Amino acid sequence: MRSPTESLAKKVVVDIAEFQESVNKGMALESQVVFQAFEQFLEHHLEPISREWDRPAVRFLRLKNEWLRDTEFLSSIHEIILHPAYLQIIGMGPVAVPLIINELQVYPDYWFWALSAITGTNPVPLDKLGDIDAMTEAWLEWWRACDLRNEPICKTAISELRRF
Amino acid sequence: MTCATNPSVKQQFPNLDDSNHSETSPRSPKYNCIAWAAGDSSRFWWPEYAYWPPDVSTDLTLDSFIAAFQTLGYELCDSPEYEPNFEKIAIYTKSGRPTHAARQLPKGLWTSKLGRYVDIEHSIDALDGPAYGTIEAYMKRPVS
Repeated sequence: MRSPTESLAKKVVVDIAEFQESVNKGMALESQVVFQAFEQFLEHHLEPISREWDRPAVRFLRLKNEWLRDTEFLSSIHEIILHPAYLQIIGMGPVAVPLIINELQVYPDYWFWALSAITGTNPVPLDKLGDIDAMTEAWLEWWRACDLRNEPICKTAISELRRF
Repeated sequence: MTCATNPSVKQQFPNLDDSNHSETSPRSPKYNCIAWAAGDSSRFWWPEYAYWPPDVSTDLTLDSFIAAFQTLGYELCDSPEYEPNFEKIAIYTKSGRPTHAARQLPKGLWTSKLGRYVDIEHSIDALDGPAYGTIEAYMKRPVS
């Protein structure tokens, strides 16, 4: 059961998404910058960072968005995987694994190094390096076969993710 | 929306505006600028954690990147000027480390993949800035 605050937060986020979609077509650059700052302000006050520690999915989504925003234009894998938000996701430990796997299933991206750093393994064959689809499939195959998915910490993260 | 109206792009590439570039593909995380310059849109190219030509040094240096493009027949040259019957690439560095590569098109403009974002056609100086630094080397090869 959602609290009134959570329901309001969800409604505001949906409203923002719809508003942004409608204005992206004709919005001036300056207005977009102001709007982005407002959006960050709103997100912060609806979901303070201090409340994230017991809500790993919320923390993961915030860090993922930061990482994507700052590294989207970079080709250097070194810069991509050494971004502070990416390192913080690694620092979340095993609880981040099901969240990353869920992300990989929807939007394949360079999550492989984080998965290797957390789990200490690498199921990607050397001749598939750089092939995002093949690397993603190797990690999804690993996830389907591994015991980690049944660990309580991972089940909790998956359960939280399903509430979104 | 063009790249120049995306606030994040504008911050990273202050020289980019509507007059000096156009988007030519949707976003894709499947390949990066080095792969795109090499004519490969199926995978990421980078000295570590991605594809890199066999037997080429994996040091993160300009020399390694030059050596990688030499495996494709490119040799160093002095200028970005368009030369009929040649393909050119430009390698960008920031603080001495390679960051980006662009490939010249037959009409003289350049094409780049912006990280995991979109492909663009652009003028040679449009991408100078905080994200990629500046161009450090040009290479060319005969058009096959």
